[in-house]
Amino acid sequence: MTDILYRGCTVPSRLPHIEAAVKYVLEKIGANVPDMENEVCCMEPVGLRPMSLEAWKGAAAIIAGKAAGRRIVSICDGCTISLDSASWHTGSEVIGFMELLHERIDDIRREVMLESGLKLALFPGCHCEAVCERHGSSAVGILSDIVSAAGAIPVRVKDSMCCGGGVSGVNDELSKKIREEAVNVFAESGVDAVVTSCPFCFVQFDSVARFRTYHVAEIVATAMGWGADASSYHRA
Amino acid sequence: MDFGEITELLDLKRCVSCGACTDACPSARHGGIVPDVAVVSVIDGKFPERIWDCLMCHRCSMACPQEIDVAEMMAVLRNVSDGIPERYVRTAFQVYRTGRTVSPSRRTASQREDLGLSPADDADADALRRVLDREGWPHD
Repeated sequence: MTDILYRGCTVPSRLPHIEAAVKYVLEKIGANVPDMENEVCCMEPVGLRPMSLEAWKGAAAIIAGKAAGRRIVSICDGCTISLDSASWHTGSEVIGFMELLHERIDDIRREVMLESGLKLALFPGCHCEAVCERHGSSAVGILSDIVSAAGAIPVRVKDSMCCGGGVSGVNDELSKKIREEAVNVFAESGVDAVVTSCPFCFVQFDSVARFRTYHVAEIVATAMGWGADASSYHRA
Repeated sequence: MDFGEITELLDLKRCVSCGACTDACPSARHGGIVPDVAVVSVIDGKFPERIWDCLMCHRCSMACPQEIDVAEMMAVLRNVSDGIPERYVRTAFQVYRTGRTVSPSRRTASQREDLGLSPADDADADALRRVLDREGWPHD
């Protein structure tokens, strides 16, 4: 089966360094995953999907049409769960980028040239965890394998935490408490940074909480020699 | 959809009130929605409190030993709720206009060039608007 890359709304527009890292890794591991052209919003799962479940199915059908039978590899985990939930309707197979990395873990090991030794708290993100469970795997286990393969040190932290992004802008006080619970756990664990698969978790921890955070694509790309200066995309 | 239909659709009466959903819920830990109470409310025909404090993180559904999709219950409740938060209304307008929740800025264009990425393309907004118009999607 051939693959096609669904980038979503946020990554290309607000976090292009994640897209660049994803593409660097894909090229290094020899994965041919072309961009989906003129993609539309997946109707994100927190606010938009509940507004109209029929509109969500319609958007997923447009995206499935553009995929034209190819497996959809989604960078954003909010998009991944939205599209995966619609797969009974569209017939499309959908996986997250992190799942693709795990499929190709031997290729990652082959291409890694710089072992950072960073101690990284594993925080795949809630939607990534839910999708991986549906697909019969463990997101934390997958992320741990990838981090190890990239020459960093995975550190498991408390379960059932969230970045708080799901209520950001709706109940900011609650969002802050939820985010701070996670950040305090990261800090107490003595890690150098947190690694996530989710762009929204990245924003919540890096841009809002100012805790050093990396997207998994950055960790793998850097270990493979990615030379782009992504420092301006990090606030912590 | 009324509460009886939601209860039947998601087979909520399988709930044994074990509280596993609430134990797993990051919102409940910090004073937000309490998922097991919300499930009982729906079964009893009452609209649960604080549905917009749900993170839609799906940890409740993952934790439920009865395999009740509590997160989907929250989505359906939001669907029938009158009070959509302003944040989502603004995003809905943006999606109607552009086909995406956010659009690239001029700064993004230069960042993409620096990173060796091609310019961001436009969404197929016309195709999405045809769907949204059919479903009475809000727009400004």
